[in-house]
Order: sequence, then C-alpha cells, then structure tokens
Amino acid sequence: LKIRVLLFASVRQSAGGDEMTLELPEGTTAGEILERLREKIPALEGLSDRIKLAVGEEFVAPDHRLEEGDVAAIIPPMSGG
Amino acid sequence: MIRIRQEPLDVGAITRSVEEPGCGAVATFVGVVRDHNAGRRVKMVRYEAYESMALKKLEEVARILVERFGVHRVALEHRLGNLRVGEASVVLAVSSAHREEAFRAVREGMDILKSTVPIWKREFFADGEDAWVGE
Repeated sequence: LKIRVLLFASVRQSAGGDEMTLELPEGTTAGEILERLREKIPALEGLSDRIKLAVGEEFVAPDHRLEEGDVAAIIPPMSGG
Repeated sequence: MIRIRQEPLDVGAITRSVEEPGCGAVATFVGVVRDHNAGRRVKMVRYEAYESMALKKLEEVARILVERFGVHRVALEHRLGNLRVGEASVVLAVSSAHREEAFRAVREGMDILKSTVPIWKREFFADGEDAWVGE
C-alpha cells in the first residue's frame, strides 16, 4: 500500500516537511499511521490522543482501513476562527 | 459565498451578500486578532490550513446552519497568512426571517467551525517566542 500523508501546523514543523509517502502492509488502518510516524515526528507524542485523521479530505476513525493511493492527513488540534 | 483567502476580509461586503427581501434579520460575527492570550502580548498571528479540506468543511458549516436553523443565506470567509492585531480572521454572516435563528446560527456556526475546520493559528508574542494555539 502506497499512501501520501499530509502534515500540518506543529506536526509539519516537527517533521521538517509537509508531506510523506509511506509504504504500508495491506490492511493498515489510519490510526496505525501515527504509530509508524511516532519516531520520525516527536510532536506526535504529546498530542497523540488529540490528533484527528483524515483520508480523502474527510475525518475518519482510527480503525479506518487504508487503500492504495489514499491521501491521508494528520490533523493536530484545530484553532481556526 | 464561502471562501478562504490571503487578502483582508471585507466585513461590509460579506454582510451585504446575505441580505434578502424576505429576511428581517442579518447577523454577522467577526473574529478579530487580539493583542494578548493567556497573559502574553501577541504581536502577530499566522493562520495556515489544509485548504481543500477546510473549504469543504466551511461549506458543510453553512449547510448545517441552513438545515438546522432555517437561515436563508450564509456567507463565511476565513483569512490565512500573517495578520496584525485588530485584523479580521473570520467573518460569518447569516440572514433569516427573524432575529432569533440568526443569533443562534452565528454562535453555533462558530462552534462547529472551531471543531471541524482544519485551520491552525500560530501566535507570535512580543517576547519573540511563538506557539500553536490549542496545544
């Protein structure tokens, strides 16, 4: 499974880039992206339970199964307005 | 109109855009950059967004307000980039037959926006430090 992961705000800063491409085993869930990236993106540690995930520009639950070519996004706590 | 832009928001134009002969009420909420937060002096703020998704989510906010409160028209614009103290970051205008649903719609609309629209604010303080709001 090849997917793109978009990064924003503090997570983007912590990763040092605004996007990553991941090669994942079949059946990987959206929530597992965070496990995979924990070492590469230190900011995820402190935010883990407050992060939302989006796939194809819609919020998804952590158990959402990823598909080939998906564009996922890690959404840190939002602060628009 | 629903949009995200780098340029200053025109509160008057956004408000006028929701006027309608059948509407006796127009309510506009303007979010403005404040000069302090949690006891620190704010010099500037910078907004960034997951733009394509944020636009979809702003459109969803407008749709919810029409469905839930029966408001006639909704205009919602959010600014991105660097903003100085006093500048408008968001403008939400609604029109309805009577004032009650207009008041409720702007309040609820801003609550939904804050929890569902992927936009982030970074505050730059007078002491040279900065922080992402909400973390």
